[in-house]
Amino acid sequence: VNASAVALDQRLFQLETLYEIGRECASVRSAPEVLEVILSMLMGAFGATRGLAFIGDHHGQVEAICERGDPSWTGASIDRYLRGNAGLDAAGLEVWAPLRVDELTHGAAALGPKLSGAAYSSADQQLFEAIVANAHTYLHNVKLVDDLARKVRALGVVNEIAVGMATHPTTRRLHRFLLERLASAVHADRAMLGLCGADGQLALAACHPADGTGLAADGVKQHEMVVPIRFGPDAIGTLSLTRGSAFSAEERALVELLANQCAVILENSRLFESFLAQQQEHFRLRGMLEQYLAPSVAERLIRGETSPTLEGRRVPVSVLMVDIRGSTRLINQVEPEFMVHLLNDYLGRMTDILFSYEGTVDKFQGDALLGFFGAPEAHSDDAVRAVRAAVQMQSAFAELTRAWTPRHPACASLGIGVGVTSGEVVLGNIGSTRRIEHTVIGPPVNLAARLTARAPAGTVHLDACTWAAAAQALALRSQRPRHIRAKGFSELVPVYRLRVGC
Amino acid sequence: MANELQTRLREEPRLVVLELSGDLTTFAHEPLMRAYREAAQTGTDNILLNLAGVGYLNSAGIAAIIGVIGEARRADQRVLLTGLTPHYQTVFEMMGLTTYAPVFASEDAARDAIAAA
Repeated sequence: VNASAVALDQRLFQLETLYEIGRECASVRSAPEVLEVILSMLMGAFGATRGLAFIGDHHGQVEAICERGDPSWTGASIDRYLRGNAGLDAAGLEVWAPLRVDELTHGAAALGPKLSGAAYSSADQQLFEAIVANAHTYLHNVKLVDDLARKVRALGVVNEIAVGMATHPTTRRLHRFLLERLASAVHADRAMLGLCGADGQLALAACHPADGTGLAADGVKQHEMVVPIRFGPDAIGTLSLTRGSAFSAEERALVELLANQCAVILENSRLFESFLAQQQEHFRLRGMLEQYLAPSVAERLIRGETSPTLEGRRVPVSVLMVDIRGSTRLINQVEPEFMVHLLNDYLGRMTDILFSYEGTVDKFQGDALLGFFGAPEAHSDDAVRAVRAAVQMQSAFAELTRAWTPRHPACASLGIGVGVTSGEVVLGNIGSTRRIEHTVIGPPVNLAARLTARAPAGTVHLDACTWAAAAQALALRSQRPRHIRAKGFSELVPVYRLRVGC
Repeated sequence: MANELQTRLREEPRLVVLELSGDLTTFAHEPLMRAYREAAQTGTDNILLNLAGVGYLNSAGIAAIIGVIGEARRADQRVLLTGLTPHYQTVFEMMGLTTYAPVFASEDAARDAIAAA
């Protein structure tokens, strides 16, 4: 009776191990710690002098191991066991049982001889197996926590990369930053980023370290992990990481997670670069157009908010030409530098006025400016705009002469003549392959030149078309036109003169 | 929250007393082995583990004591135990530990046994 009571006590003590394992595992967070608890408990429960517990994957890679006592088992037997090629058969082991964690991870717990020298009974074996089978829950739990921690770590790296993106705006710097963080996250010696070009071919985009360090010496075995970077259904590149030791499934999962995030960041970066290129092109184009067009018209053309007049088509426009009277005489009296200053002042002011009415500069010819209204953007009141611009030019020029005169008295005698005509012209590129000019051609252009040449300082000459289109809108006093003979025109040309009181 | 194992070493002419306090569980293994090795370096033949201050002891703690007994045997040293509650004395007997580490009611009883040997 006494012996039976002792045996029952012993079983009770061993069964308490089931509860004790759970109690201690509640305070541990890693697989090696759980293995240590399981093995210690088993050794104590059965009075064993040696113990071994391990888990790993089906490729023989050990994830965690705990050994107690005087281990005499070899790594080879553990490797064989993990690969599923054999049971756990090693010297010094008397009892063992498999530890199943999940589909990817398994292992075993084993005990050596008892301190008492007694053999393990079949009841011992059964109880041992039951305790080990029960213990897998704790390993499974820490793996889940581990998995969560890995994801949190990965999110940390992703967050770091996302934050870093703000300080690494250029693609090259971003690539280097991504690789540096990835290599650091999995302790890789070398990281490479391959990206697919427009032709779909993979090309090396960046390498970390960039100076070639991290390359293994000849003959040194390197383990490589290559993970595709996918954006939606498309593979846009690869991440390749190398180091001396093999990468675990967990590390691969981390890099895969990061690769997904990288895809978004790389795509954003690509879009950002493309946006920058578009912006550069936009500003280049705008800068070019603003030499000829009012900034507002240039902007509307670039944005596609207005359709430009098609090249080579006849278009109704109002042509304006302005020229200085008395400039030839002045050139002989003043320093050339002052003349350049004067011309720039005058042409700049005339251009501003033209643009303020959304007119277009055709060309500068010496001290004359040729502009037009109605292309590339037509307005219903282009003739009115042209006349208003011409009148404003006269007023503006009077102000300019007042400003110049103190520097040179001869400036007081300067004035401008302006000619405005309206009619159909052809808008197009004229010239050779070496030099080309965007211009308007047609009788209104020639007539504007003739009217301007005949316009005394302080006057604006209008042709009959312009007068008809603008006189009423501008409430111009009615007048009889003068008729002039203009070169290139077979008939007399009626001219309306506006004198601008300055 | 577990109480970490604390050890105090007392050297006497024919033995070294290792006073243990706190919990003797899985995580006591390392500190206990360290304390044992420190005691063993004194060159003593007898190491007395006094468990009177141990508040909690489980299978893992027993495994740790088995570890000490195993190392002591290989070093030709003798491990003696005292301060065990009647329950754990029974458990130690069941496990066969008392064959290799005799249990005494007090430190004095252990000293007497060493003197008589």
